Amino acid sequence: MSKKAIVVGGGYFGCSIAYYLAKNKIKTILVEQNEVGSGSSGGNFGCVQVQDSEPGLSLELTLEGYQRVQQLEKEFNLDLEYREMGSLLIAENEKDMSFLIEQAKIKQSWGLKIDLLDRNELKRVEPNLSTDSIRGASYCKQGHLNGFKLMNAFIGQGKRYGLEVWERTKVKKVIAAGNTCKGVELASGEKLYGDYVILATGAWTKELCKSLGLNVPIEYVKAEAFVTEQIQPFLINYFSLASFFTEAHGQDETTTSFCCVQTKSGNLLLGETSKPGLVSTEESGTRNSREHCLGIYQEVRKFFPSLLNLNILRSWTTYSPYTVSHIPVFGEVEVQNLILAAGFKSAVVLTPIVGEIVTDIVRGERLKYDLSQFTQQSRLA
Amino acid sequence: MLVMNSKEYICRCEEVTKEEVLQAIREGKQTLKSIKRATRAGMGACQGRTCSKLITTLLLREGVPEEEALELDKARFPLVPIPVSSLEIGGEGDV
Ligand SMILES: Cc1cc2nc3c(=O)[nH]c(=O)nc-3n(C[C@H](O)[C@H](O)[C@H](O)COP(=O)(O)OP(=O)(O)OC[C@H]3O[C@@H](n4cnc5c(N)ncnc54)[C@H](O)[C@@H]3O)c2cc1C
Ligand code: FES
Repeated sequence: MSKKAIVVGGGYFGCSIAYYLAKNKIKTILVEQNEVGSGSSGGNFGCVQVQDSEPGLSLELTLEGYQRVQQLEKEFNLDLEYREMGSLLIAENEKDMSFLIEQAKIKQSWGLKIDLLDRNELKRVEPNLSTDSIRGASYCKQGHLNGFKLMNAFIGQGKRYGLEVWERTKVKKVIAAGNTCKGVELASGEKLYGDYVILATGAWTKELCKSLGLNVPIEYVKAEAFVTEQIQPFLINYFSLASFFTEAHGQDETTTSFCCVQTKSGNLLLGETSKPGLVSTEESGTRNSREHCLGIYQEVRKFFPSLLNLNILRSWTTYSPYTVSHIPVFGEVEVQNLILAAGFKSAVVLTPIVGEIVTDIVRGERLKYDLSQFTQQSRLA
Repeated sequence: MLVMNSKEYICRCEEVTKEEVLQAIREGKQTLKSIKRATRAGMGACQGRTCSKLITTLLLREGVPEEEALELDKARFPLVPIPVSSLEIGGEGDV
């Protein structure tokens, strides 16, 4: 009899995990409280990030994932709007620049091609950027795709292998007997049982694990973003600030960090993260703040003043999961038959490899990677 | 009642055809929001003011339950396009 798995959460990771499980003949149900892509994955920029990765296993998986993401269009025979794109991490002061230099050195030793750019070189790579306040940058090749198309592709292809997707279905709690996970209880009271439960629940993971007595160190930042009208190619690279990494991302501090990218359709996405806090389903928690409007205005004025007259069409907010250590919570934890997959720093690039690894765990295969460093922080109280 | 043939654009801003929307519905999309994410219909300059009624009509005609078909996509700041420069609003609270 084939094994049964229940995947909770329909973001990048839930979708990719469900696809690889179904493809490998595991009977899989994906349960999502709202709609697929309604969490953080529906509010992000679609970058296939490489240089942001933490040296060590995260980077190793990122490099593996990067290879695989580039093959997905072919594997699915679908257009995901994938294209290669550069990524710029910008330093505005000496502290950030030293950080970039140090990081580049370490990541180069892992085989990543990272270039450090001074202001003149930066001007060549990103001609519309105003470099007055910039000290330097690190540059690395990455990719860009349409995140909704990616999630839809995982789901659509998964369904061909028998994947079931239950949207608008909330998991109330994880059912465990002793230290073994048995299934999940839905908000409706219905119970689903399976050989494995996989929580790909992003910013909600910590809360969901509490009833198991499992302490999971996943926090989240509130991020706010705007999309502008479409314009001719203007921004060549994905643009983000080194301060996102150098400033504390602790639970109580507020740090803001700007990023932007131009999509294939020509829209510019402008974003800023800050404010660790509670996931709120209330209206106030999902509204954009005046503070961020001002913040994004100031960043655009500083870096891309010629965009100040560009029209903004829409805004949104999301809760983006992260861990203080920058190390994800991924793998089997002290509760048996439960797999956690959340708190990754970059998401898109890791989707295929995370799906493959979860599938190996469920099938009882020997793992190619030692995930203990990703799980040891999650302990039973 | 509007007669729509398959070459017809449902979303003029993003040039999304009726056929593309129908395809998304066949793939299981049941709300304005999920159709938007799958096809871009509603992401344009008018933010769905022109096309959302047409999409809702299609959803209902394709037999999607009213609860999903009539679910409104949340209106979000700014309700009409505004230049980046007018974000210099300052103050506290939400927009
Ligand atoms: C502005 C911004 C830009 C970003 N840009 C990028 C980028 O370019 N590239 C990149 O790789 N990453 C980017 N990120 C980070 C990325 O968005 C997240 O890391 C990623 O979306 C996390 O995916 P996830 O599947 O873990 O979580 P989510 O997408 O949040 O998915 C979790 C899902 O679980 C569901 N869920 C939760 N609890 C329950 C429950 N009890 N029952 C049922 N369902 C439940 C939720 O509804 C949600 O859909 C960006 C983040 C932000 C904020
Ligand atoms: S007609 Fe669809 S967004 Fe304007």
